[in-house]
Amino acid sequence: MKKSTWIQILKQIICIGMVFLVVIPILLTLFAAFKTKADMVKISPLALPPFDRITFENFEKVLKDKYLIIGFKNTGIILIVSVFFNVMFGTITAFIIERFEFKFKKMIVALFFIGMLVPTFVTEIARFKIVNGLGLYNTLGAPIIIYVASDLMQLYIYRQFISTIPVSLDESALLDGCGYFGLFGRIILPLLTPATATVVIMKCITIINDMYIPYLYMPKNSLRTLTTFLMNYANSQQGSWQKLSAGIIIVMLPTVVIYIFFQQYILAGVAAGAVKE
Amino acid sequence: MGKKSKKRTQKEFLVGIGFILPSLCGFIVFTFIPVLISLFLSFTKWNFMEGWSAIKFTGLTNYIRLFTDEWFLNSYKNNILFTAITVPILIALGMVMASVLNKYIWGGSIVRTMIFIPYIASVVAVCAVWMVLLQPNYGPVNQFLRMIGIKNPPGWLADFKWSLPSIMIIYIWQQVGYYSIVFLAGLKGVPEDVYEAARVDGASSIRQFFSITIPLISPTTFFLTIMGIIGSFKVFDQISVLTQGGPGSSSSVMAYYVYRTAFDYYEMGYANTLAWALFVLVFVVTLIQWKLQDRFAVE
Repeated sequence: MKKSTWIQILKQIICIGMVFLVVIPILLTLFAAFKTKADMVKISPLALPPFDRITFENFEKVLKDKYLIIGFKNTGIILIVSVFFNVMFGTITAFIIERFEFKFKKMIVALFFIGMLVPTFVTEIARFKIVNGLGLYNTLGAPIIIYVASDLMQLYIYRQFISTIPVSLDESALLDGCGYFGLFGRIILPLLTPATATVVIMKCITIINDMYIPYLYMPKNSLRTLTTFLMNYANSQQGSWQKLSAGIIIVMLPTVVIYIFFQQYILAGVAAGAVKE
Repeated sequence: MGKKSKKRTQKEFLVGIGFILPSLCGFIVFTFIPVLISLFLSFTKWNFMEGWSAIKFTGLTNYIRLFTDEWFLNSYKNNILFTAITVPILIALGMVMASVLNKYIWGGSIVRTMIFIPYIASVVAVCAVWMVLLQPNYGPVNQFLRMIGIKNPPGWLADFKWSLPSIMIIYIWQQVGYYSIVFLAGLKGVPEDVYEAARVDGASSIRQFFSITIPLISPTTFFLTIMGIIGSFKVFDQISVLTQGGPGSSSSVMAYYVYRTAFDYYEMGYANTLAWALFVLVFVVTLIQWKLQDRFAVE
């Protein structure tokens, strides 16, 4: 056989190996979620139980757990409110920074940039005290205000995007008697839709998956989110792994589904981060 | 926009500041002021439960304490070890995976989709998956190891020697898709005719990889190395879900120790000192990388 054929085969093997490494842990979890307690011991972790012994009982139990329902609700509320304000403030701020000249602008932009360099763990303790002082500890307000105020990823995506919109468009709109509001609301905002899609999807994934902020700011049971629900569940279900597995699959599902449907936006967001350098 | 009248400039200033205000306020209250407070607190002793009036200024005491604090030294060492091992492995795996996926490969688009899934999934869910897999007695990994004849497989997360390596494995597993995808984006920027020319000159695939791919994607490699180092310094979630730094301090890292000192022991002054000690590490790395970046550009 030709040498190039061998290389193609080698590549194919690397590919398959990689997929196995990634998929097997998830597959084992999925298989376990369909097993009864007895079958967990009897059947190899690498196999589904025989067709007639597949059970949905684990999923039913998790889905009936009152804290999972609470988790879905809380994550949903936090998500909608924070993403809305992120888009609103993000578009306006990026528009102003890109298109307006005013005193202190350079300083403000530099400040935002430095802010992105400072890791969270430096600000966390003081921020905790401030959130506490505002009376937001143990309320949904805490994660919302933090997600809105301190992650500025959207500014970068929007600024990049606005800089590709020709300035002449602004000028002609203003000449035609369109005010600043009209210019922003009727011209810039609609043109930003693709960037907004990327921002919304990236934010959804970060917020749904975030465990640190809900864990730190909302220890109250009735304020569990999907991630803090799973943390508690993992501790309470040690030993009955078929149930824990069902819990894992359900908590993983939202972001994985978002990813599968909106792959191109996510990859665009990832690439935007990479291109920044 | 041509020359502006003074009135226009003033108007732009007001409009500008006015609309930026919400973002700016949020930023100042939740990032800028906290940085200042944190720096100040790092020179004090303060039990968080006693209110602002209990803050005592102690000068450099906290910073001196760092050098005798076993948990701190262990966490610092673990952080460096974590970075030194995970980042090169991720770069190597990502690069190989990306160059495999860049050319035609059977099932390529499905593979691309699959390998990114762990990165998209929540850290807590991923940790829970691995908690089950690595369970010492009846977890599938150890069952398998016993089957192939290893009598005493490691206790993984519950094992002094293996707790940190276990977390590294989980971290690499979750991140490798991200590295592959970013490398793949970098490879798309390498023009095909360079490879064409190399093929005409008779360069083998392996030769092409080392002589074309690696040099031409060095900006991507550079970006991923910076992000990788900084990201691995911040690793927290995995530790807090899986081991709480244990057994002993064998898997503790800085970000976790900061958290523990602040929110379990309420030693806010010292916790901020720890945070700044970690920040120095991150900052020094960034500076070194910036220097290297210039060298990259010159060559």
